[in-house]
Amino acid sequence: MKTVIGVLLNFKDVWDLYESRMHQEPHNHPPRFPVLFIKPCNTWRNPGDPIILPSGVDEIEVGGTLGIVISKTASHIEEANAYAYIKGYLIANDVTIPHESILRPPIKQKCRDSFCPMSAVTLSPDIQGGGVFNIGIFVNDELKLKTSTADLVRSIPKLLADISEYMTLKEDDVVLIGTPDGAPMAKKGDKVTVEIDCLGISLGRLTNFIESEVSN
Amino acid sequence: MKRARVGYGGTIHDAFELADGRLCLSDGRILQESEVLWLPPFEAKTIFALALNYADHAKELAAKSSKETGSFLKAPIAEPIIFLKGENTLLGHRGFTMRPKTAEFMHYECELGVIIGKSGKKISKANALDYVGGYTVVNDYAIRNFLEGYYRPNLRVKSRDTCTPIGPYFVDKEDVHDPMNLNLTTHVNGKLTQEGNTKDMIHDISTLIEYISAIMTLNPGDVIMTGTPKGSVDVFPGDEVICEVEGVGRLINTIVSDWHSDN
Repeated sequence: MKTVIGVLLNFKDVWDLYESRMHQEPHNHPPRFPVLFIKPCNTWRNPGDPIILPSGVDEIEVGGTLGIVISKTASHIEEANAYAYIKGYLIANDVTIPHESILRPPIKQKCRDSFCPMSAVTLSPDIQGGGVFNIGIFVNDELKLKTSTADLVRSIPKLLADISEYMTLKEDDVVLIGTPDGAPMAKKGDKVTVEIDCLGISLGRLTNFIESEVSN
Repeated sequence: MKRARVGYGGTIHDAFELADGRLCLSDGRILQESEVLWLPPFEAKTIFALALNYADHAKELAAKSSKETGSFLKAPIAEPIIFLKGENTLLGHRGFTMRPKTAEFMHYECELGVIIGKSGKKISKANALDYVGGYTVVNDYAIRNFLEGYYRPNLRVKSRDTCTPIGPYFVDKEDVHDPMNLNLTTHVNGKLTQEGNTKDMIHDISTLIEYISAIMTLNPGDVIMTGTPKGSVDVFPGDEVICEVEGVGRLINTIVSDWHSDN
């Protein structure tokens, strides 16, 4: 089965926000390697599927992000060759329950059912070799946040090189590049949309609606 | 029944253990367990693991690791500390696990693996064991100097290629009478280095199933690695590490050197 890996602290503004805390206990020093988490299969959803608010949770962060889709087995790859291991790109929503502490793995915050809608994969030779990806996050059709991969701490090739140093990536595995500071919040009934383009090529839009959990 | 997936004669087979310890392939061939290539015994979906789920192990780490940590390790463990692993890290019985050149302290962790047998969400503790399909043995290796205090334990420690041997068998739950009273042992090169019993888990199997399924749906093929008791010893290339869980299996692994030239 494929693995979907996410990256924390990979936007410069998020890094800056946490920077002062990184030198204190329990973090002690800034991370020397990418900070990763896994979005397990219970979180995966298609465009249009509902995102379910767990009971007791009123709002979630809309973590619009780019997914890198791997084309072939990648182990210890070099940054310079990284694009040869990319099949294409997808739009993902790394839905997250707001939280302060980043000490422990974010199971409750990021691994709820339906918390990772993903679009189909865009396979375009024009962007296969990368470029700046522009990401727009909308709530009820209103643009709430614009960001781009120009603001990454680790570039796409650097991420793939660092991860594959100890995790062999396989075809169709996905690496989500991270989310910036100020992810828009959304609540029950909201329509959330993520839009990505690169070099004038659109990856399309990923839209989902937020519903509350049906109690049983 | 104790079921395995093995490679033999150029292809992959389902197999099961005979009463005398030999292996019967699905085509009827009978082999010694040393004759086959062992794969992880089932296709794992979500892989959950527990940090600090035995009180004596938590105490041992707090005592040993003053330089790497802070007070959070010594705090009482109110709720389970769960982390996930990627499938890349799984390795079959009799496999080779790499010790990276930059490792300073690499230790095994003998654990009972609980394999989920049917889907469920918000499972009550009272019914939790109905959702178990079987059990296996896991060795959840850790490299302590690779720990970083972000989403700890981080994937660079816990989701490394070759670092989670599992097996040899998927043991049907009917064959494990009391999963909460099984001895766990680890031997390194024949010497007993770790000893414990599943009855000393802080959060028992039913509690873990209730806790996880309150957060997310559990599915068949999901596995919960339930944590390790004390007895963590540094291991080096050439060491043979055998993790055994009473009645579930004896999982053999060998540490090998880093085969990369540049790091």
